[in-house]
Amino acid sequence: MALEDLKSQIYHCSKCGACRVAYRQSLPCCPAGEHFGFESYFSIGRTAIARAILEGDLDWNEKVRDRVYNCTLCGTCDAHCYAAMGLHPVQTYLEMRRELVKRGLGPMPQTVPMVESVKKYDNPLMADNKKRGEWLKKAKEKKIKPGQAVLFFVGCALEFDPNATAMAKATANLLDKAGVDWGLLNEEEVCCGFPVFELGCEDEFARLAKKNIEKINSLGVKTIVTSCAGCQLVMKREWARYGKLNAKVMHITEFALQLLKEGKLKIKKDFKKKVAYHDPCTLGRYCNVYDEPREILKMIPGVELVKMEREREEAWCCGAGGGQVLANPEWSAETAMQRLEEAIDAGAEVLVVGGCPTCMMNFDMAIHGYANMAKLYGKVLEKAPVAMKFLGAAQKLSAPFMKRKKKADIEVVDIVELLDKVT
Amino acid sequence: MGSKNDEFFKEVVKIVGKEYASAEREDIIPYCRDEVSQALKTYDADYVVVPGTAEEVQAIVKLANKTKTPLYPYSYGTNLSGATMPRKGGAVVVLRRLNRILKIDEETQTATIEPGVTWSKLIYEARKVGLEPLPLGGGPHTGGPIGNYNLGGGSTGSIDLNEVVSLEAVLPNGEIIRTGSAAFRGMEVTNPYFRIAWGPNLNELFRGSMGIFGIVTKMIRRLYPVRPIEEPIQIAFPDVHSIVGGMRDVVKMGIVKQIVGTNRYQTAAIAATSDVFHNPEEFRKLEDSLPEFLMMAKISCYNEKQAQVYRELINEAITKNNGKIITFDGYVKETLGQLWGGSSVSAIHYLRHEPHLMAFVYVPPHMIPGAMELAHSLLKKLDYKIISSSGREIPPRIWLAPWERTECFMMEFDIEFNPMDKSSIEKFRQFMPLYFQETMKYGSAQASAGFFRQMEAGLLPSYSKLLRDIKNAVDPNHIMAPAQVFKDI
Repeated sequence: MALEDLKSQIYHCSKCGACRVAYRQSLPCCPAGEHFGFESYFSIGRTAIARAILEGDLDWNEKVRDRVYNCTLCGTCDAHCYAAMGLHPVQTYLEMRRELVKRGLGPMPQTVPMVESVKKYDNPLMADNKKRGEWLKKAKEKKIKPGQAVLFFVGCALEFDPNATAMAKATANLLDKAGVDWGLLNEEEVCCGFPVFELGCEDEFARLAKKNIEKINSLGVKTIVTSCAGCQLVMKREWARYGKLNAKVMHITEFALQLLKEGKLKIKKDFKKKVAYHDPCTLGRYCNVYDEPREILKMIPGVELVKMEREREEAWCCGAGGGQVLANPEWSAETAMQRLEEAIDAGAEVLVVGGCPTCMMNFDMAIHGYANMAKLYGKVLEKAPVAMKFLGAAQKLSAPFMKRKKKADIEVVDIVELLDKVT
Repeated sequence: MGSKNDEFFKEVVKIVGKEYASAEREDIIPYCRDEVSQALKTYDADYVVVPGTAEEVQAIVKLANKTKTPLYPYSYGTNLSGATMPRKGGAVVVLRRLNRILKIDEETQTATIEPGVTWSKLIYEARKVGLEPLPLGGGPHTGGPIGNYNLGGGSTGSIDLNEVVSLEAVLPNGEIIRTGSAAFRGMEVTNPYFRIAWGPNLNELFRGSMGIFGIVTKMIRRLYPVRPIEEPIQIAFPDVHSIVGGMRDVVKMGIVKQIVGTNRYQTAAIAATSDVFHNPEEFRKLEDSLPEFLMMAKISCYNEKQAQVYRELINEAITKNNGKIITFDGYVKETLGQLWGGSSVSAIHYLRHEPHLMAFVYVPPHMIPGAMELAHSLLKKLDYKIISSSGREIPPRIWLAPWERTECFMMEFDIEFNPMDKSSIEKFRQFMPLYFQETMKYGSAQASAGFFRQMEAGLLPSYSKLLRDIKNAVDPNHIMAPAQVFKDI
């Protein structure tokens, strides 16, 4: 695939602007465009830049890179553009990212240490892969055996982020409670490739996709369950470019709902709270999983589901995607704060996130400051001079976010943990 | 090409802040291209500026006058026909940050809005208090009522075209002007809701002005009550003569809130979901299932008794014109029902075309069939083919709307072209000027905005001279949107 192959998509942009506005309420839908202000940061602008490049009117350069990478890849523009024009502009930006990487211009310097980590350690956090499974006492005995039907693909965040391991434990609990015969890859699990996929590092993504497909196919697994929306996105949509995966991929919300409907998983406790549901971009817009988490929430006694102004296709991004949590932490956290404010305005006491450690991390950063984030990525960030500079700047940002803590008077819970509590 | 060292840029950064001004081509190019730009000669601006307040707009205009820098206002930025594309360098002044609905006044049924307010935002907020603006069903939801180029458009049923009560604009010399009753000192606060001013109402100076007389920064616009029964009625007609007769007779009764007509192919584009539109077989089935022409009218009633009377009157009027009330099922029912969001969800369907120019002509109703035939014959002469998503050749998609009650109808042809095909673009270039010239024979009083404006030669010399004199008097340095209306100024 090259930008030339997307010419039809690019030339069919009518510049109608459907990509810029959540159309039912006319509220902003593009975090990048709203933050940076110029059309060049909205979908129509990036598409115009792509067209200018194809026509030789603009060259690939760092200014183009900044406009292409300063985007959360939330896909709201894509959902709107598909409804209006049948186009998928996100394909264009992803291809532009790949081209920028090929030309040595991408990704954004702040994200380079993470890519290097993926190359060297098979995870984006410079963690020791041998330590996968440490979050679970019985990890060794849960090592998947050939012929076992269900693989719980944990994902790097749930493995190594101290805040996210709770999601991993909750997922394991749910599978156990439902009597599912499941297993883990432990030290044989490698990154799904999502972080490098969204940064346009296609060679690295291809390597990981092939490695994963080969390993999982060799086990004869029938179903892969993951509680990471990013992992399930690449497994469902992107791995196929590098091989045929024989297993069915299910996000935990899809799998848990199935278990609940089959009566294998039972809700035993109530949760008397006003709850707003946040659609992770990677789960909702990219994989069309909107109803399952909502159905689960409706099954929990006491939950009063309140509606935020922007939901489903129009949901405001948490701000972390597309590499922004590293490249633009301040903007990333501001975007998260806007989402939290929307939930508070809707009267929610709890914001439930639909199985996404990245959203959870970013909401945590918006509420509690940069401390947890720095702790998680500290090792990565300390390795590269550019990242050190970035870390210093990012730490300074903690103070204003901490001040905002009062305003963000809302609890953020992932649906996996909530479901574990009530079953 | 502008430079960050230019006096204008250095000063404008002081006005708006460095994050809201750019001289980078990567930022400028998106403002200088639109749907039809591949068929046109394009010009790049030198800068883009995004002011946040009317005061900043005023300061920018004053600076532009000092440095003789052309300014091209750009409101929210739905530009489908080349209207906002700069033609002489200078700066694009983007007004999207001026996005406040300053007031929705229930007593006067008006909204006071800034240029960055979109139709859908206005609809959404006004409906919270039981009011709504009446744009033509299906306008781009992301566009705004203050387009700065084509102010206040939107005719509906028996409602008069001019929805603008009064407005505020920054003149090319940097002074603020207010129109309507707001032209009187202090009245912008005490009573700006009165459309008649001393002497001619200068609202009309700005409507359709293409931005050449100043930058509109505020508008008071009429709103209408949303009643308990808001009911769309669809009527099928076998041909263009019948639908024009039907629409004319229904509008004459003054009982519909909104009304539009479409031909089969336009109806299909509105009614299709994206999946259907991109499935040739399904789309063909949809096209085949629709009537040749469809009138969509909405009644707005206080109670069922009134609604019943209105339905009967409409039925009587359309039956005389070979019309028949029809209903739809499934997604077609839903999508056509959304049309009356005016500029909300409906626009999503409305825009589902190949790139195209909306070629408007404004003609008396009885001349519509002739103007339509003319378009068809010109297309045939040029061997211009429009291919539907169903894969077959179709005539242009058509919108019909009564404009100025029934004195004049707007007929919009959507002339699509294939942006990947140079010969298609070349034919498109040949067709458009020819079409505008020829439709004048059918009483077309105004041509489409954008680059194909060449109507000055057809104007009365006295009218043209007065317009030029006003432009020269108001804007002696020709900083406001030069070459957007007059080729030379």
